[in-house]
Amino acid sequence: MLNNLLLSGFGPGLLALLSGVGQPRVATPLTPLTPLSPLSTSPASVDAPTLALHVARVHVGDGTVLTNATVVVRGGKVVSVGENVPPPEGALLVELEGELSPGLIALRDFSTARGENVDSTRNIMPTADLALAFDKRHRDVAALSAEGITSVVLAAPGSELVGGLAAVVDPGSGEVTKRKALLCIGAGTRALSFNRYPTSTAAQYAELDELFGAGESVYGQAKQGGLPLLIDVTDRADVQRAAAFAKRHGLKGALVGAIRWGDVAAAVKDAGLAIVVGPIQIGGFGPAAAEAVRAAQAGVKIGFAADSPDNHPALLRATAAQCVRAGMAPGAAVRALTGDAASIAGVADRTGRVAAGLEADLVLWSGAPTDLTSRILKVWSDGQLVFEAAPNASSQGGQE
Amino acid sequence: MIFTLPIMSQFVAALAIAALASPLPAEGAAPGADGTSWTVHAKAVYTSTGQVLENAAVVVQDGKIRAITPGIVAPRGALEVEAVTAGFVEAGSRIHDGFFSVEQSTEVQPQRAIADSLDPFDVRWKRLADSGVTTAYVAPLERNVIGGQGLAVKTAGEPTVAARTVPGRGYVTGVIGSLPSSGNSPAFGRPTSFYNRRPTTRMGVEWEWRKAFFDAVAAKRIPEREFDGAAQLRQVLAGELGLYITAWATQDIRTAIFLKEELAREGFGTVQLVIEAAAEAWKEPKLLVRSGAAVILPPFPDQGRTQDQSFMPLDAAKQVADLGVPFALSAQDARDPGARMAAQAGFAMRGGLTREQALVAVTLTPARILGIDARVGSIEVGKDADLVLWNGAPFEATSGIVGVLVGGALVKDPRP
Repeated sequence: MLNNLLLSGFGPGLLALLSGVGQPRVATPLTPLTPLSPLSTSPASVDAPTLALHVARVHVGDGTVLTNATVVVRGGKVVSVGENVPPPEGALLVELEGELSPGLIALRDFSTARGENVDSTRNIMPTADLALAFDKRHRDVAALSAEGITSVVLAAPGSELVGGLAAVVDPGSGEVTKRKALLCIGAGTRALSFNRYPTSTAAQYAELDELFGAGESVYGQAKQGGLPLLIDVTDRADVQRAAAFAKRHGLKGALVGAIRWGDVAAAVKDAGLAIVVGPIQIGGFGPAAAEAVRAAQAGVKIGFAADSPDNHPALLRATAAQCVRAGMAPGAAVRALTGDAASIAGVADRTGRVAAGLEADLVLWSGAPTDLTSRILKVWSDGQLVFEAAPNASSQGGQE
Repeated sequence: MIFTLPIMSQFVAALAIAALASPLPAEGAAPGADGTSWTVHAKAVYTSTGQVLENAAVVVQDGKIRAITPGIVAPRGALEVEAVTAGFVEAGSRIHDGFFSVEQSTEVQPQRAIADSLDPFDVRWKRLADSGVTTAYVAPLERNVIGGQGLAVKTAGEPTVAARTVPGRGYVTGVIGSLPSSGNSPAFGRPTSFYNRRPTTRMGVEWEWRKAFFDAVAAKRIPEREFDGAAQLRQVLAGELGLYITAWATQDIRTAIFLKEELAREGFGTVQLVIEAAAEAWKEPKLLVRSGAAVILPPFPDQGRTQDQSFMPLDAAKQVADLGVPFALSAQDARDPGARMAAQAGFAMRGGLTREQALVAVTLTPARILGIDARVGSIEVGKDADLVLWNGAPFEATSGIVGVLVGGALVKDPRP
C-alpha cells in the first residue's frame, strides 16, 4: 500500500507524513489508488487518498487557534477542518506532533528575479509581467520553502515609478498562483534617480496623477478596483503623500517600505490601504517593530515582507516575531503572515488560511510560529511536502 | 487693526479684558482644552506696526489673537515674560527635500509645486520653530534655473502639508547665479551621459530664463509651441504670480533686474520681482530702486564673503533700508543657534537698523512679500497667535527666546 501511495505522485508528501512524526493509523481501508495521478494537479479526484491530519493546535490564519483539530486534505486541498471531530471514513489518519499553520506569505520578494525585475532605461512599465522573472529552478526557491514560505509576491523594487505587475508565486510547487496580482508603484524617494526622469517628488506625483488621471489600461483597472497597488514609500511624508494619492484616485492596495508607520497610520487607514511591514533586521534597536504595532493597533491591516534574497527569508518570520516582542498579539502576527497577507495579495480565495476549499499550504512547527525557538518541521505546498527538517535535529544540542 | 486701550486705568482695562476676553484662561493658567488659548503678559509687546505696548496682555483664543490690552498687571494664570514679538516669517527657508525638491530633467519647471517635497516630520521644523520662526516660505532647491513654485507653511501644528499651508501670493521661483549650472556637465571633455545638462555657465542660466519667457509668449500665438510651465510663466507676466529669483552676487542681481526690464520693454508684462539671498543688493542702489523689487537678504556671513563670492557687510540691511526698498532678513536654515533669525536681526541692528526696522524685517515685511500679512506678521487682533516670548529686549545678544506660540499652541514653553 505504501508503494502505491508513493507511485501515486503524492508520494513524497505522504511518505513524509508517514515517516518521522506520528504513527499513521488507517481509520478505514483506503480506496484503491490510481497510480501516476499527481494529486496536486487533479483536484478532488475521487481516487485521491484522503488524509486526516490530527494535531494539537492549528493556527487557522485568521487569528484563531483550533485545538485537538483534524485537518482533512485531499487532492492538494483542504477538505475540512474541525475541532474534536473524528476523521472521516476512509481517511488515513496521521498524528502530527507540533502546531500547524498556513504556509507563510512574503508580501514582497525578489527571489529568483534579482536583475530580471527592472529595466534601468525605463521606469514606467505598466505591463511588465513579473511572473516572467520567476525561475522555479533557482536555488533561492528551496530557501523559501525551508522557512515555511509557500507564497511569494514577486514584485518590482521601489526604484521604479511604475514597476509592473507583481505575481504571486508558490516556491514549493513552482507555480504561479496569480499573475498580474498587484501593480507596483514607486511613490517614495527610492524611485527618484539623479539621471532618469523624474528626479523630484513633485514630478513623480505629477506623473502618477497624470497616469492614473487618464486611467488607461492597468491604471483604469486599478481605479475600478480590479487591480490593487503595491506602493513603495520611504518616510512619513511619503506615506502621507501616497495615501492622499491613493485616496484621490480611489486606489486600493498596500504601502511598503517605510518604517515610521505609527504617526501616519490614520491617513493610511483613511485611504483604505494596508501596510507591508519589514523586513525588520534582527539585532536592530530601531522603532520599526513598535511602529508596526502602532499601525496595527490603529486598525490598519498589515502583512510582512522579507525582501529576500537581499535578506534571508528567515527574516519574514523574525519580523513577525519582533512585532510580537513589541506588543503585537501572536494571533495577529500569524494572521499578518498568512490570512491578511493573502487578502493583501489578492489570493485569499486560494491560500493563507487552514480552511476548507483552500490549497493545502501548510507548515508544521515544533511550537508557536511566532516563537523564534520553534522550528519548522515540515512544509507542504498544495499538499506536497516541499521541506522536511533533518531527522532528529530537534533533539540535538541538549535536553528538551 | 490693533485693539488698544490707551489711557485707561488698570481696573477698567481689566474689565475690558474680562468682557472681551471670555477667552481669558481661568485660574492656574489652564489653557483651552485644545491648548491654543492663553494669555501672554509682557512688559513690552512689540506689535510690528510701530507700537510698543507696555505692560500689555495678549489674549489668545483658539489660535487667534483676540485682544491686546496695554497697561495692566498680569492677569492670574498668564504667561509672564519680558517682551513679546510676532512670530518670525522666514522668507528664505530651505527646509525642503534637498535634491528631491527640484526636478532636474529639464531646467525650466515653473509648473512644479514644492508641496509634494515638504516633509512635515522633518526635525528642522522644530529647530526653526524654537528659533522663533513661525511661518516659513520654502522654494525648491536652487539647482534648476526655474525650479517651481514655493509654499508658505507654519513651522508647527498638525503634521500635514495641507494643515500647515498659509495661502498667500504664488511665486514662480528660480535662480540666477552659479548654482543652477554647477555640477551639470564637464567644463571640457565629453559628457558622461546624455543626461548631462545645460546650462553649464552663468550665460547659459540667463539664456534659459529669457528663452523660457520668450517661448511662453510665443506659444500664445503658436499653440504647437506650448510647453509644460508656459502657462505659469504667462501668469508671471500677467502679474498673477510673482517671480522669486535667488541671486546672491551683484552680477546676478543685475541680470534679474535686466530680465524684468527686458520683459517690460518687449511688452510681455510687468513682473513683480523678489530677489532672494541678495547679499550684494546694497551694491546696486539705483538699479534696485528702479526695479521696484523687494529683497530678501541672506544670513550675514561670518566673514565678509558668502555664496557666489558675494560680499555682505553688517550694514547691508541698513543700506537697503535707507533706499526705501522693502526687505526681509533671513537665516535660511541655520543650524548654529548664533546664526538664526533673532541673531540676523541683531546683526542688522549692529549694522545700523533700528530695533523696529529689524523687527519688521523679520515679521511684517516678509509676510507682505509672501501675501500672508492678513494672517501673520504682526500682533493684531484677529491674526494668528504666532508669538515669540523673550526674557529681555528683542534681538539683544543678552536676550533669549524663552517661548514660542504657533497658532496659539505653545511650541516652546516659557514656564520653568
